[in-house]
Amino acid sequence: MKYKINFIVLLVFSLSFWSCKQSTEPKYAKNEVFELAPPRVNIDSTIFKNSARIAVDFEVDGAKIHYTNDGSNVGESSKNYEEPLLINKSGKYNFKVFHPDYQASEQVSIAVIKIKQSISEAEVITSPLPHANYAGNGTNSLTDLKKGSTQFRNGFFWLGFLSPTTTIQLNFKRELAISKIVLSTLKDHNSWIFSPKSIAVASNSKNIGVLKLKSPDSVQPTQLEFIEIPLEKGVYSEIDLQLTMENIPEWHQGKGTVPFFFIDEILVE
Amino acid sequence: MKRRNFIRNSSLVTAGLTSGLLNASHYLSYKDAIIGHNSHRYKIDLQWGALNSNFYPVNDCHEMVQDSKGRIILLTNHTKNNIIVYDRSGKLLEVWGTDYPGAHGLTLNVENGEDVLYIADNNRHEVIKTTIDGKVIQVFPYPKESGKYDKKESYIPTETAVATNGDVYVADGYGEQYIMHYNAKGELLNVFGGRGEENHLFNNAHGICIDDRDASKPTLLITARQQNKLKRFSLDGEYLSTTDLPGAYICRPVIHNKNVYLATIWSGNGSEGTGFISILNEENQLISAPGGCKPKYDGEQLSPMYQTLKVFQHPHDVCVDDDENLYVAQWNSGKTYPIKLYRV
Repeated sequence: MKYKINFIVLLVFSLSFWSCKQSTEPKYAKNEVFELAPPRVNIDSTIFKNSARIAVDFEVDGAKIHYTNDGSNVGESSKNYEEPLLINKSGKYNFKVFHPDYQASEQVSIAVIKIKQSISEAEVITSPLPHANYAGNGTNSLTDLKKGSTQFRNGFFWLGFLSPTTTIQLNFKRELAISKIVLSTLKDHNSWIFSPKSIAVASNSKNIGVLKLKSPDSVQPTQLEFIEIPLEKGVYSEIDLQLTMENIPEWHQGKGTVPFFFIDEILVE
Repeated sequence: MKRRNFIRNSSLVTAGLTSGLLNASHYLSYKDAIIGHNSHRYKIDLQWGALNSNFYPVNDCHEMVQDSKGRIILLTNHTKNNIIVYDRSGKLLEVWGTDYPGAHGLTLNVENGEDVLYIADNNRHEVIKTTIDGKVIQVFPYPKESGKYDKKESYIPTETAVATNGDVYVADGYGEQYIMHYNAKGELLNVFGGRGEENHLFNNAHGICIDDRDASKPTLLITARQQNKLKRFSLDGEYLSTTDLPGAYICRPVIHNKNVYLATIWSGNGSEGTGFISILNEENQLISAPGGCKPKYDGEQLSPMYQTLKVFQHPHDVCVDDDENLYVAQWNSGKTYPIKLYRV
């Protein structure tokens, strides 16, 4: 009996010693735990007249970049990215990195637009005026074909509005045949920058198009976003855009307040 | 070599113990992740130093240092325990500090044979010097005498460096971007830097250290975080040179042997959650970027850096121990405890 008790005491002691010893051993994380970061996509201009060049970097041994050029999701059987892409038409490109040891990256999407019609001479009036900190180079920033980046504080590309509704009037000073209008915008939820809830387009007080956007149900990746609004085909000399913002949703720390709307370019087709 | 053998042996022990409990072939199908490049590559322990957050909570884990006894000291801006002291295995040894709501910069200096700490508090707008167990020795209050500040709140110190003669340098990294130069008594000797894009000015003078790798000619290394630059100044505040680290938002330089280690809080275009670690050689060239892309030089010019593996969110400081293992404290990363990297 005495031996049995001694044995149990020894066993408990050994186990407790062993478990203490265990807790101080490093617990090395395995490859599979980690996700690759998204690839670094560089484009000279997402809005172009003739062509654009997309270069993608991911300096990791054994990593492979795959992509699609039709907007579909990227898989390991998608095209292999080997050298910069020269683009000469509008489209949507998706990129993703794969590696045998790690989880695949998130997909990076990039839309490119070939300009069909310049409206650089148009007069642009906004109501209200853009926020004083994000006033770009005045309202003509919207038609100068100069794109901003996700680093919206750098340069004078973006106009930022902080209002439940914003009206943008475009006076083309000539008649243009138009079937679509494209807004080049920024989505950056962490910086309280959201897309509008709806965009109504009118010309001479007649509604010619409307687009309603879905409210996001969680934080989405920061990205440059082209919002396309199909219009009633016609010849127009002026267009009014009415943008309506929805208050920031419940899941965001800014819930219940009006978010920013950021726009750097308006294109017509 | 000794250190490497130790690591190899200890992992064999771990593998041996574990394989007795688990299916060996299943276990062996997983590989330990290794990050970094060239001579500085590491295995990752994500659980190092994890504590019960009900008892020992952290908010931002801002900085870490190793003391003369080899203990690892973490500074957090949680006022339940601003200082958390660990041994190198991650075992909790002690906690102290409830008066540092803006605990941000932690610098250790040995003075008269005793370890002392300098805590830059960006909420109190001052730097506090304490003993290693938390008794306040001296306060460097907001430098009204500099003539650079209208009010205390404009001075938001982020880091301190102490020269061998006892002079103290404080970087106002979140304030007006000046560097204060005091003598050991706390008398202001000089002010330099300030906000701007020119070489001798800063945008986010976040971290500062004494570079004593050339012992005959010590200088100051100061990060200009938003500019992705590491700037060198003389101890008198004269601008000397800049190391460009494009895409690397470096927090503070930490000198260990011939290398400079820099937690890099963001990378690429500065998006959230894109941090990694930067390691420079004695020529101040980036040689390893654990969690980041392989450093690539075109002549003298480093290609822009970016995160490649999501190991870190927002690394804010690196502590290098005697075995050249790293401890990474992170800002705004879900109140997580530091990550340890074991050199391989």
